[in-house]
Amino acid sequence: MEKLLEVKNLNVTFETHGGTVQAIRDVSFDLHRGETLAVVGESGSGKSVMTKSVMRLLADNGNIKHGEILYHYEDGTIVDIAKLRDGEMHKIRGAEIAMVFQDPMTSLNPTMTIGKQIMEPIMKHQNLSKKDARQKAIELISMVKIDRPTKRMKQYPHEFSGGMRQRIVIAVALACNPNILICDEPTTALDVTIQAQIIDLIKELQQQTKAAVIFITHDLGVVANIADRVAVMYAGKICEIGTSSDVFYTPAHPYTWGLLASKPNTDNLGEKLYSIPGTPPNLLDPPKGDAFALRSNYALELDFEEQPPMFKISDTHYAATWLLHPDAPKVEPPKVVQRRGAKKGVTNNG
Amino acid sequence: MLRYVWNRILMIFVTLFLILTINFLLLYLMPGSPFQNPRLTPSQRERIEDKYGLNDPVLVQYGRYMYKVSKLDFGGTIATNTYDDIFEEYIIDRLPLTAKIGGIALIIGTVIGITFGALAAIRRNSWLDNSVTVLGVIGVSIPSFVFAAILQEVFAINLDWLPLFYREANPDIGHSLKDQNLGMIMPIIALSVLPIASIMRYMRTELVEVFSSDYILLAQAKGLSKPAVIFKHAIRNALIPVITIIGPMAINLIAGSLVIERFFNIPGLSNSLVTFTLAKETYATLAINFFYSFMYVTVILIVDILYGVIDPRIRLASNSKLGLIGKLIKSIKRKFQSDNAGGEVNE
Repeated sequence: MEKLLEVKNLNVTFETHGGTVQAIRDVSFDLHRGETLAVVGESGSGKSVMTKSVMRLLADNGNIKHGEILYHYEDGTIVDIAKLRDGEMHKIRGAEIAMVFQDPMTSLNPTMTIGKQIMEPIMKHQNLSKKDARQKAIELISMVKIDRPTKRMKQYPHEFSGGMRQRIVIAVALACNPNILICDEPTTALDVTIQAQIIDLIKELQQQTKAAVIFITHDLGVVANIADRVAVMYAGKICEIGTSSDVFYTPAHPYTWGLLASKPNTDNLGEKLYSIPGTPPNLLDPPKGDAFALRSNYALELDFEEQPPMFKISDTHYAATWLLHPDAPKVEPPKVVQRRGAKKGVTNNG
Repeated sequence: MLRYVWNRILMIFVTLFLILTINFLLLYLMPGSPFQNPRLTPSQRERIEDKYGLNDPVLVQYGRYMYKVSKLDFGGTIATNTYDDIFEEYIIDRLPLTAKIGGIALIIGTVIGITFGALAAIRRNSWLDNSVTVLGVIGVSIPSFVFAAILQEVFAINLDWLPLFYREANPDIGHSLKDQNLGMIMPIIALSVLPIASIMRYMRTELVEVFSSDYILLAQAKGLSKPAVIFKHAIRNALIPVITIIGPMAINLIAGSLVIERFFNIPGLSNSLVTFTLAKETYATLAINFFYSFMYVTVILIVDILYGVIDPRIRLASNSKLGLIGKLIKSIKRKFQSDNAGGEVNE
């Protein structure tokens, strides 16, 4: 599949009064045209920071220390977003890469009409006249399934419900047919029935527009529903990445095991629900070895000493744990995870 | 909304009534007499006071005064008999100068305050931001008359650039219009220090908060340039709360002008208020007092209504095409119609 975005050895730091926080530590991944990549991980694992780096929307104290974010234009030119000048970046934001944020209640300007807010990126990137931009905006509102679009154009955000506002934010994001749509926990602030509608909408619009989607979430149920591939993040690193079925049925990293085991489902019915002990490490001073070693029941001595590299499990599946080293002792993943794998009819040989 | 405005207007009347009552009683308790000529003997003074009813029981005096006020007659000066109707003959005459100086100070304060507050927020943590913060604290904590004294010392006495006092233009004694205008510079500067400092600090805080909001992030994610984000999205939202303090700020200027007008010998309304109070001219003092109070409550009402014009969330929900006035007229019409019909119409 054609590559759209390549992130290579990305390191992002934040300067704070307490010192330098290493929010993203050596993250690499690819995104292909038209696919959906879900990024999962607990709060503070660096999911949002990673996507904001791709948009270059980090707070003032955040820096891309090193690494490349290569964006492939349709005509084949490749630019490194990490080194782009601001003026060039304005041409990418909204036009090539667009973003949907977490809280629709606060992500629209309260003093500007919905119509104007949707027309803004259209007029900025597509050089349309005001009249054509209006027409396009009306089409976008009906595309996200809000009725009476002409009337809605003149309304203000406070006249919309949370779910409708998120639809509008999606309309703004899709206004210029971006190649990449980044959804930063787009359903977290919505109630459950609306969540399903928004996810269905994103899926449907993705099929229409053929955009690649990076979907950040900590809801594993949502991931299973939407993602082609899944990246699991922990302490600023990607610890496992693979197709949905790789990660869900044959997970290889102890952290992924923990995540899956702590989600209630039919495989752990009647058992005491597992929870990962301890708390994430402080990224002001990240641990020397595997960041998850302290909380892991499967940690080897080496895990405390040295950072595990990404081991290749299959063409699509990679994980960063010493357990995958040929000399590592053979360990059994937790029962819940094994049962899950058995269901798929594949054994975990990781 | 309309009901809200009616209620507010009703409250204005109650407030003004209370202000007049309390002020009347306070002035009654103040010792002294409007007739202060040292050549008057105590018995002569008492006879004159009797003639003006100043020795009647307080309730009688209060009742008489309120009855006159209800007919919009605020009385005049007692001792000099110069003014029969203090409103018509005095306030209207003195108001323009006070309003001019206060108005210019307020405009300067708003413009400079908003500009530098916004710049400080945009260039956060720069030297400009730090100086705005420091100057802002100095500006709100030092009273205006201290600045007035410093200005007089530096620009009038040491440098001799500006006249020490305000002088009205009067060609007969050699005072030109230029002298008059030069004389207004220092009072205006002294008065504008407080609004500059408060609005600057407020604007900075609001804008910093707006910058950290999600909709600014979304505006940036659309690919808008930095100026577009600042002017189209940030400033307007930051201005909404700032406008609410401009009203009370105008009123604070009145308090400031009480001292400043005396300092620069400006024949304005505030200066007269002090003079009349010291002379125990009860009616004249109350009249000016009433006027200031009336201004205060009106300004606050206007600001509240203005708030709805800028912030769509507070605007009347129906008929967004009509202007505010149109909406008011329409709701008044509807109110009458529903009253005539005797039925209830929800607004």
